[in-house]
Amino acid sequence: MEYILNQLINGICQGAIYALMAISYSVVAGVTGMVTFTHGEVMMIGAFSAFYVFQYAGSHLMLGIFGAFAASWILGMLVYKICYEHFFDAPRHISLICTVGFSMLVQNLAQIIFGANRKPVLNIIDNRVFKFGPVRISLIQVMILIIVVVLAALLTTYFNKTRAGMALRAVSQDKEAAYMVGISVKKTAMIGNCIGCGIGGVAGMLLSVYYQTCYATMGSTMSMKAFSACVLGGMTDVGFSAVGGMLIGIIENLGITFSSASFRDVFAFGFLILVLIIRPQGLVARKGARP
Amino acid sequence: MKKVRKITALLLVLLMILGLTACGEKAEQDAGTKTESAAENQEEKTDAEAPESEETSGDPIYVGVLAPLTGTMAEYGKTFEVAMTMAMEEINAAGGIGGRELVLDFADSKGEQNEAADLAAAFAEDEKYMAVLGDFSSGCAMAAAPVCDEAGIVQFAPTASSVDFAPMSEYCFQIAGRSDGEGIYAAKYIVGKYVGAENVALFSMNTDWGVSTRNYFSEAAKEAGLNIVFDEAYAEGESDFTSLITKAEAAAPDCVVIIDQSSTSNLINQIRGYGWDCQIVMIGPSTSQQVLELCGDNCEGVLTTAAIFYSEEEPEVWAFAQEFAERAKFQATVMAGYAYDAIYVLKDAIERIDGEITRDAIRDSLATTDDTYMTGPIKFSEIGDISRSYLICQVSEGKYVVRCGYDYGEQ
Repeated sequence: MEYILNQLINGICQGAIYALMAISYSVVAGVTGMVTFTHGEVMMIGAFSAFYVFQYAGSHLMLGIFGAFAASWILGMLVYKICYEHFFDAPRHISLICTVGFSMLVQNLAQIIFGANRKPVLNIIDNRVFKFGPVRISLIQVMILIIVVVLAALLTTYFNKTRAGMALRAVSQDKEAAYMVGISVKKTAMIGNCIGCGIGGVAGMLLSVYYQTCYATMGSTMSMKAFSACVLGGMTDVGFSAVGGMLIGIIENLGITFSSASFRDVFAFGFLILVLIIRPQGLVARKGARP
Repeated sequence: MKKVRKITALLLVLLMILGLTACGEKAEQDAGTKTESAAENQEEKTDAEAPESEETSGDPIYVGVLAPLTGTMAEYGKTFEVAMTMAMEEINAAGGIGGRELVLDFADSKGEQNEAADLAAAFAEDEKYMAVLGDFSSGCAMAAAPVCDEAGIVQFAPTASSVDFAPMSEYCFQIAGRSDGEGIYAAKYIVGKYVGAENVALFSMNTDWGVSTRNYFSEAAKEAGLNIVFDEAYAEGESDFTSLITKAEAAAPDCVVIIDQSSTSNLINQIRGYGWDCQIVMIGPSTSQQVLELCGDNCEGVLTTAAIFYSEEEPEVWAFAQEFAERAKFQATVMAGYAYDAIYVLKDAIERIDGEITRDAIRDSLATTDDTYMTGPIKFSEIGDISRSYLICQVSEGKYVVRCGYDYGEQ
């Protein structure tokens, strides 16, 4: 029982990481209305920016978060300009393929510029392990859980309670109607995309702190899980995307508990397929959510 | 507004071109040689760096190299590129092979088996290539082996250690030592004799090399009377091990053995991050400096095997390690030594040929290799591989120290 409880906590913490990536993914998909495959690279750039911040400015977590957010925001602007801006009226697969190509370019450039080897991200926070009887949880796991909950709450408030957030939602729901009521669609979509990318960068930074390393290809392994969590949550809903990420993390870890680690992805994607067969719209309550 | 946009676009394009040009130059400087055109640069470089070097004449001898220059194993591709280029430069500066220049053409397999097979086919079909070196991993090398066998061209994969590679063809050769050697040594002498453990937890990566090393380790462990209380394989590139660690700890082992080539540091960090202070033995990375950098204090006390140890007491080996580190921007592993030696083994084999240099003549000559190189004596078995002796090393105060010599197994 204690063992299963520990595995459940592992699942929740792994799920929290997926959730954080899924939140940022859902913001991008929600606002631009397009699927992106650059998100792994956005996370990687966030991780590397934080790595260099830590290297030159010391191990200050907040500075790292700021550096990751800023660098990913800038990359988000580039992604928007290259992959989305000209393709709003084109079939969706055009921008999708564009993002695939752009992600390859960024990943290979990163290998040339940052080098192909892994970089150490050590001792950024004092990673203490808390023991509650037989159950263990580390400080970084608690920190990630808190950041996910806070970010999901902040974003939900921003989208539902502020004028700028509502403009983002309007653009997400119907670009033409938003344009007709005086919203600058392109500018709003770009800001939305950049917010999503910025959060993705922070997720990348947290990943690098959690796993104590960063490398140029780190994004590709994680972005597919973020995408799956996002699909599970209904693509555009921040809260449900977080829940989707959390569920995938828990299912994976419980699956490993009772079988082998080689089947990790079988559980994750099997669960995704099962949910989509029963509820094609994902976990989100309403049907017809975009995109 | 349009004008501003145009100027911005123009600036962005210029920036990208500048970036790419700069990167290209940097890559060439780092790698030394990449393609034929780079071979020309090579001549200039060699002239500049070694003015007293002998001149080469006649047609160059071309050798194709398969290496994962990009992708998740890019670090090892870089190791191949730097170490082999160093050997090639030295050979050419000393007059080449029988007066002919040696040219290495690197092809990027991305660490993918289908790419490795396709690139090997391209080398094999082009008659100018006299031999193929690589790929880095046993899996990729084995994917390319049937192609090279059919074309009758030597495939010399210095770092492939799977026992199944060399028997695939009479044209297959490897010098990393067989994976059964390292696995059996670790089970009997490190875990069984040095640590004196009884219950072992085994983490292994699910690749050709990982599976064969794990099997040999398990068999030897059983023979040595060890209980394997936890045995899990995971996919290559796995990043989260927390659930496996929880599972392993529940089995209460005395010693944890990690059989991995890419995620070892990640696993060690997560074991220590979980608050588990167990004895760790790693098989695969050997005395990798990167494990020290990536793990910091977490890898204190970790035990490993090493076929070669870069020590200041051996000036030649130390000089190689220093120059490698300067060029690659990371420390030399045992893989760098194998890659470097492979070029000299090949060079000596070609030099021994009495008559026309053909692909078959190289194979026959290579099979008769019997000499001592930087990483130790090299004499191929009938099937084309070698068995190596190992040292036991341990991480102590942030660096590796040798705990037991090559003769520990016999004591």
